Amino acid sequence: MIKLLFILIFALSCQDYNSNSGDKFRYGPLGLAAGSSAEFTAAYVILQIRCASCHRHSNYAGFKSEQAWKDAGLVVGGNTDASTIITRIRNYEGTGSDMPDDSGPIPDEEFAALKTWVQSVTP
Amino acid sequence: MKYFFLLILAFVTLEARAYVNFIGHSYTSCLNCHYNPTGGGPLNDYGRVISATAISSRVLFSKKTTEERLAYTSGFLFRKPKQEWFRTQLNYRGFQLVRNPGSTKNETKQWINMQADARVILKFGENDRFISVINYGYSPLPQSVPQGTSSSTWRSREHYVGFKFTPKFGVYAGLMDKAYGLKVIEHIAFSRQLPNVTQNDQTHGVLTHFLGETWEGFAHVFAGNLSQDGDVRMKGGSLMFEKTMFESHRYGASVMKQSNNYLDLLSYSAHTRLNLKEGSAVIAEIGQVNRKTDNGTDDRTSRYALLQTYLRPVRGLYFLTNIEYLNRDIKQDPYSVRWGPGVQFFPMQRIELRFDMYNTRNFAPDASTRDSWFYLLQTHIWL
Repeated sequence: MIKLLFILIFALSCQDYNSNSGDKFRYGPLGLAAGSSAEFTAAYVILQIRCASCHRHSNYAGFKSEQAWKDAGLVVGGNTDASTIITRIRNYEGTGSDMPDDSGPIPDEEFAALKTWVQSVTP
Repeated sequence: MKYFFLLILAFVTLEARAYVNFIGHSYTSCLNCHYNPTGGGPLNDYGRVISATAISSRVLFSKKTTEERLAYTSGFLFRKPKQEWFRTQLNYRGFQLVRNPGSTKNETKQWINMQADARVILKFGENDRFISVINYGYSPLPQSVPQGTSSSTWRSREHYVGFKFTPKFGVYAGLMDKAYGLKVIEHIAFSRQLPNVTQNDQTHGVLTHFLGETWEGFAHVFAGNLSQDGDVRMKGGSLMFEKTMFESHRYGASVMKQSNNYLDLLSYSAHTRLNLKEGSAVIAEIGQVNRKTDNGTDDRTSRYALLQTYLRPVRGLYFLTNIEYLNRDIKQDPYSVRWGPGVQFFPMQRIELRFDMYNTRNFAPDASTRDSWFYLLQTHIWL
């Protein structure tokens, strides 16, 4: 009986999701694509802090190149007003911008760094 | 009286997840009513009877129905167990989540089946000296689940064995909640999210529990959830101490250190549970979490506070107020406050109905944001 109990105890776990499941993506080595610009590197770190911790399902942490953000439809090269990654942020002076959810606006210098990066991306 | 005592020993396990505010009923230690000394999970036989007789309303029963009868009919599937060593229970919790209520543009409604568990308890010896608890069932997969994580919707919420060497000293081993702070039911609470002690953050480890006349101590050494990949398992330990002061109020402190290959967390907190008598209570916790990340992208020190009041006008009914504070990075000015009222009602044994409203407001020196609102209509049923 006791032996059976221990087998059950260590065999039952199935779903393993918890608060740390995404730590490898969020806090591991950045692993950005070769030749990544300084603007993108700075923006990537900000996006990990402000966005990726919640947008795990969208795999923001896995977008290691500028092209990945463009392919996801979040960035339009050189156009901040058309880039969702900018217009969804509270700091954006548009309507309905409410990201990050359950948090205040991101620091202005970080928002500026994101815009600088988007503007530097080739269309 | 003798008959009542025998009932206490005989009833099958039921679930009315005990809450930390039940110090308002003068229960200082969770071990009074739970197998797990840190609280939560299945109730022991004594806890079952208290739940049936002191916690739930008797508004649906006639005056002729005695307290003994209420207790007697609270058993699993209305049956009296045939033996002393085996207990089972079924437990369901679901809620309607309504975001942005009243907004014609942004209101969303979603029913979430939060948990549906089957629990098995084996217990032997006087005063449940040896116990084994398995708690397994359905658990929804959050939309934010990262890639590479198991997609199963079934999980073991806890499985452990425990042995009391003496009535005042016990050792527990297996998958359990981390011993840290006030174990409030709201897993979105800042006091649970920041230290990584939410509803899915159980860990394999060894918990030692010391019980004195007016104090209680916990020492927990853990190796993370062993079903996870080794690099993300949070390994570490925690200490928690509580002392009863001024008759039946509790004051406590916790410290926890945990880390994996990518994240290092040091959490410490102080808390209190104040007994306002006749079921009413105030609970509060303040804490700080220092986090260090491997790639340096999210190094910060966060602070949080929690204050909850529970007022019990009549048996089975509690009016709640929840106030939370969060400063994600103490080097920066923005902070958030979440607050709201709630109502918790146990119309009868086996049923809990609950309403919680939450408003979140963000404060920043150079910007203003819209408040966010949502409410929960929760149903909790146990058999």
